[in-house]
Order: sequence, then C-alpha cells, then structure tokens
Amino acid sequence: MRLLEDKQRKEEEQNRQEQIKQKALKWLGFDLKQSTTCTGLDITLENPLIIFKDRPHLPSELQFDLGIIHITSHTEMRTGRWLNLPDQLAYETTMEIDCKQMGIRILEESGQLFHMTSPYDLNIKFDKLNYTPLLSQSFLSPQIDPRELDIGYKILMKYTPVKMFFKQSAYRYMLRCMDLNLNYSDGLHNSQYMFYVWTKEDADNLYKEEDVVNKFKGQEVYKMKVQQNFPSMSVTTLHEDGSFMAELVLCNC
Amino acid sequence: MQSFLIFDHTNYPKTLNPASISHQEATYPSREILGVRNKLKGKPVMELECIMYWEDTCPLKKEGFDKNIKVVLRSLRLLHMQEYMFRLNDYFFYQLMPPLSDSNPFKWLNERLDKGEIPKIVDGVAHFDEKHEHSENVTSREEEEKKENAKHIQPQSEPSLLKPPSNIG
Repeated sequence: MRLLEDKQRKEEEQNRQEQIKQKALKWLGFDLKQSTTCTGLDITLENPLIIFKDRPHLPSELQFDLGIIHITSHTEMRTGRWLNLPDQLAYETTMEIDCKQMGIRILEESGQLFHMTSPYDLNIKFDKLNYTPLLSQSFLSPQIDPRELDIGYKILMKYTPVKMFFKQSAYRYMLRCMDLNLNYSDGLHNSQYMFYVWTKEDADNLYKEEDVVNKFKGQEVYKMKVQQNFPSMSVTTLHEDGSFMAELVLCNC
Repeated sequence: MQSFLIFDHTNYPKTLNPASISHQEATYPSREILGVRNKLKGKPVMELECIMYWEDTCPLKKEGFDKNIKVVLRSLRLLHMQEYMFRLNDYFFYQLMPPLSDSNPFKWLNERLDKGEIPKIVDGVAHFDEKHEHSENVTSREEEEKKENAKHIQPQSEPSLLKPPSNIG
C-alpha cells in the first residue's frame, strides 16, 4: 500500500512540475523591454565621522567612524529572476557599498580613545531589476505575473567578524548621549517638527499595497529580500582598568 | 576649497530664545556641527565629476552606462544632536525652500487642506476630513446637478458690488 501511495505522490508531483513548466514556457524568450544601462556611480567617502555628545560643550564624544566607503554600480544580464526558467536572462543593476575599517569609539575627557569595536568591514550589495514600462504598476502590472518573475529588491549584507568591547563608563556615556538625543527638549518649539506632508497619492499607494497583499496572500512573492551574513560576533565586558571581565561569542559555525 | 565648515550659534541645549533675549547682550558660542577638512595637502576637499553622454554613439561612452558620476569627499565630521537636526530639517525643507521655489508656498497646502487630502493637525493629532472619502463622488454629483439646474433655471441678474462698472476708465 505504501509503495502505491508513494508512487501516486510521485506521479502527482511530476504532473504538477509539468504543469508549472508548461505555464512557464509562455515566458520563454519574453521581451521585458528593459533599459540596458544604469547610472555609473563611483563615490568615495573617506572616513566620515558621525559624532554624538552627552553635552555639546564637553570634550568627550561618541564617534561612529564609517570607514572608507566606496559606492559603485553596474548593470548586467543575469539568470535567476524567472522563477521557473532558470536559464532565462534579465537585466539587473547592482549597487555595491563597500565600507572598510569601520569602528565605534569614545573620546574620553582625558583625550584617550576607547575603541568599542575592533575595525570591521561591511559590504552591501543591492540588486534591482532594470526599468521596464511593463512594470509601471509594480506588482499590479497586468502584463507581468510576479509569481513567475521575481521583481523584488535583493540586499545582501556581509560583515567581517565584529568584536565589541564594553566597560561601565562607556555604557554610562552612551546612556548620557541618549539622554540628550532622545529625552531632551529645549522647549522652544511648541508644535511638532514637520518631516513629511502626507498626501492623497501616499494614501492611494497604501491602498494599492493592501490590494497586492490580498492578491498574493500565502504565496511566495517578495518586495524585498534582505540577507545578512555574520561570520562571528563577540561582546567583551571589561573592568575600568581595561582588564578582562567576561565574553559572549556568537559564532556562525 | 581647503575646508567647508558650518557653525552653530544657538547655544543648544540651552538655546537662546530670539523672542526674549536681546541680541546685543547675548553671547553666541561658536560650535562646529559640520566640517569637511583637507588633511592631505594639495588635494581638494571634494571632487565631483559628472559625464552625461549626448548620443549612444559617443566614443567615450562605456557599455552599460548612460551617465557616470564620480564623487570624492574627504574627512567629513558631523555632530549629531537630535532636536537640533529636527529643527534644521524643518526649517530648511519646509520653511526656507518652499518660499524660494514657489511664490505662494501655502496655496498648494491650503487647497489640499480644504479638499481634505491631507489631515489637519490640531494639538499634535491628525484629523482626517470624513467627507473626503466620498468627496470626489460628491463634488462630481454636485457639479452635474448644478449643470442640470443651470439649464432649466435662468439666473437672476444682480448688480455685483465687486465688479466695477464697465463704463469707467
């Protein structure tokens, strides 16, 4: 009986795969009318520093060193976008953000630097399908089925091993920075700060998004795929004199 | 350009209130909030190169690119203070730029508020106009009704106080 059931299941699966292939064949050689070019970026930012302070007039500061950032972009034909046609090509633009030697440190009142992280690198790859007029309505475009063509963004973030160090004074300093930047208000601004004017177009887009969610509910349709790759991460706590206290290691083995 | 610096004179977090403090008596501390400095001699702070190709047959054009942008920025240093940045953003993008780019910056906003396309904010709470949901249908129906009425009813001629008589001037 079991053998019969297994055989039936296999046949059903084969039939399903055949049906999928038959459906996919209509997209074989389909012209997406994509743009074949992109804007070539070559941007270099050398060690931008974002600084947080507990009080602006005091010398100590929390420094976020973004390292040497290099942003490039290029476009090429790739496979993998047509879900049931593995060899079918489509134009993709990749923007690559490469950050080298990033780090977080605290400049103490004495003028000494306390490095909260060892230098680490971050590489971000952002892939998107090139522009095509056939996808002007995104997921609701009548001519393209997003269940056949993956039109979402793909983001891949790769870190080198990150080592973090904490001591009590550093933690206290971070809390003081949060106090100025999150809790404090100088009381001069009575109304709220304006960031964005909510328009009818935004509301329409919101309703459209609801339609998309309802239409593709429970199916594998993605707007964005984010993948993060951490080889390992450790948090070390130190005494005030810099001696070792404890270490937590997260390893992607 | 060897350096580009922006200073804060508002004495944040003890911000000087321009409405209550005499500007002659007040002392303005000078605090750098954004700085781009050149650490390498002989090199500029910022390099910008933008190439746009007029035709596809341009011999300089690289395959796969419609334009090329090259930017190099050295040694940027930004002091982030939350409320201060909110204030700058609010002032620059919503109070300074609209009057420069539009002769009547509030016209567009007021029109949309009247139509109910954006919420009215009262005491920090957004109030949506309930009529807005059917506003398009209502307006179109009202317009149709008005047109139909105008066909049947002849408007009475009343002297307008706003319009000057045509024989003057």
